[in-house]
Amino acid sequence: MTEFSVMIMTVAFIGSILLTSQPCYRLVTGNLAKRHAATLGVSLKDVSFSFDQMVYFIALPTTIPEVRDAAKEELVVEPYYESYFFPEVNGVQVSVKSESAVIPIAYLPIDDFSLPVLDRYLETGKINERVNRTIREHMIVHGRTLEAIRDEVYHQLHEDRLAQLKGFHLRP
Amino acid sequence: MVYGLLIGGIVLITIVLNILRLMTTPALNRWLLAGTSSLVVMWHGVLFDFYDLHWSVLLLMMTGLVCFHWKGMVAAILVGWILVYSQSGTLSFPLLLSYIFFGLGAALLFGYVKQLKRERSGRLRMLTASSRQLNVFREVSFTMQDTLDPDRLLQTILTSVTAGHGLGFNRSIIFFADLEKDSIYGVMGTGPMNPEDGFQIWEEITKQHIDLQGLIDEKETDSTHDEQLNERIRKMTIPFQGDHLFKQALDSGRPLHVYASITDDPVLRMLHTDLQMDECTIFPLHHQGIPYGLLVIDNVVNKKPITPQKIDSVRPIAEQASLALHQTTLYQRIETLALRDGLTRLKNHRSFEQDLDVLFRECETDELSLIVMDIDHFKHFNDTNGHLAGNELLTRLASVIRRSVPDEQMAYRFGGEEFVVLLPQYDEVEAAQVAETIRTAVLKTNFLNGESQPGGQLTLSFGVASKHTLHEQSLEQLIECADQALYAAKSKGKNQVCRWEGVPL
Repeated sequence: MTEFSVMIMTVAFIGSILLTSQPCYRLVTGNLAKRHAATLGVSLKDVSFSFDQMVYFIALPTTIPEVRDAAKEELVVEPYYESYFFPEVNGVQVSVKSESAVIPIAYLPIDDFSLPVLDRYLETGKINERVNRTIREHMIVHGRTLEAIRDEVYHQLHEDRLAQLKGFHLRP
Repeated sequence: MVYGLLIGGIVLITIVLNILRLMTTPALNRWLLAGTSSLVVMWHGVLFDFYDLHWSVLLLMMTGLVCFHWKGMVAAILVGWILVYSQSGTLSFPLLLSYIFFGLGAALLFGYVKQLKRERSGRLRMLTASSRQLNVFREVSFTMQDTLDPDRLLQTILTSVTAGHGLGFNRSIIFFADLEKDSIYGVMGTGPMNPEDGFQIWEEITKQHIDLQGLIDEKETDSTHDEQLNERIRKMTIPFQGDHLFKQALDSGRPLHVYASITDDPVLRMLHTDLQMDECTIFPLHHQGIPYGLLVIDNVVNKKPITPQKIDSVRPIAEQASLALHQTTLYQRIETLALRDGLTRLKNHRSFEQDLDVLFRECETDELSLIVMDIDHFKHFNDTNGHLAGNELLTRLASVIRRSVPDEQMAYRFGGEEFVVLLPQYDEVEAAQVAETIRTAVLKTNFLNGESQPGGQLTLSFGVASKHTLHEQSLEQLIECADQALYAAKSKGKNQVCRWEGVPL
């Protein structure tokens, strides 16, 4: 029976690691980021960010029916982690999951997630690269950011960009 | 009960140490994960009297492999084997061999998974970079193909390589090459003068969530962030035929990646001094062997290195920009031929009709005046001095008119020896003053063979009409009334200005 206990131990250990790593990572990063922000005298709620370096893997506006007809709620916006054992967010990916396939739509690498305030602090030496990374990681996985990204992607998917450009350029 | 304790204990240990390890440095994180697995094995041993320690060692080996790769695994094999020996009291070499084989298998599997993950990350990076380049290229191509306005074209090129929605460089500048004047001169730039300005601008843009089109649009208005930079670069002129890197880039047709702070090149030294430029890349803009200019990019704010991949991403844009500049230049030449008088270089009759039509519609409530002028006794001049002298006279007169009017773009050759000037926002009194200025300037100018004219010098007669004095608000009426005023000036003895004042003259 003890061999069975070894199997249980292994499964419980690996399962616990895999299931709790990412929530623990978000919890820890959030607390550290808030602490760093308080030291800097900055409120993370007021930090403006920009995801204009988001890269779209499809043409805009798209003719792919699954993407074109997807409701906003059907867009899956999730942080992308490279490792389960040592979680560290690398970016945010947006996709549409249909019954038959997952269609990637866009990706925002964390290095291109723009937080001008942090860039300024980093340049002036007020923070180091580690603090910069921690706050950046917290901001990019924050629910507010993910929701804003969802809004932006949905807007881009349904905006007739070329028609808008054409109208813009042809104006007198 | 004991299994519940086992699982509960493992979950508790894992969560607590997970939180702790994520708060530390990456190296300590790995040690703590390895320590966690040791604690779990110990917890299992406590509950089951270390009866199956030889099996539990496999977990230590896997954790060692995950945390420290093959070194961790080898260490775990040795430690585990010694632990089993200390517990059982016998040295089992077959067990050691089993551990080694298991470790090898695990290492191969782990290596394969790691390789897959590495490849996946690499592909994602490449896909991201290619997609970004493609998206920017697509939007820029569309914009470039859709405009023949040089300013808008330049703004599009600059914004596409700098803005957040573009390729993301901090600053870009365009220089034009003028082979006839043997000069390379600054035309337009976008970006900050220094890092501090850059952060300020970037924060503003981030707050306003301006996108690529918004930025191009904004740059068309007066309130741009780049005024200071543009003011500075428009003063930059470099001799074309010099020994400098701009010339080298144009000659080689390839981008040059250089550091302005450590070079002796005079042009780059100037850019370093005036614009705090350091690492930068110079892209030649040329098409079919014709050099149009240069595009210079740098990261003055965030100091991000300009990698070969980034340079490659700009090249298609630079090539597309060269083609668009070529098209725009051709269009401008054709436009010049179509809308300019070939002799005097003033705008021609067709141009006058187009401009008058636009101005008449735009000046619904505002004033608009027209001056029509005609050379007195021009037939006599031609008959006396020949048509070639007549042409020279017209050319000289055009330059006098150009200098004497508020806006030289509003002066036209109407035909033959007749010229017209459009004056938006000028009433008939102010317009008559402009006409008087031209008349005086003509009198003060020594024209070749001017003394052969009947009055001993070249003179002009002027007719002035303004929109608000017309009975019928039409452009035909404006021309007609100015013409009538001109005839009145002629009939009153020439060399004078007559105004249409709402009654036949």
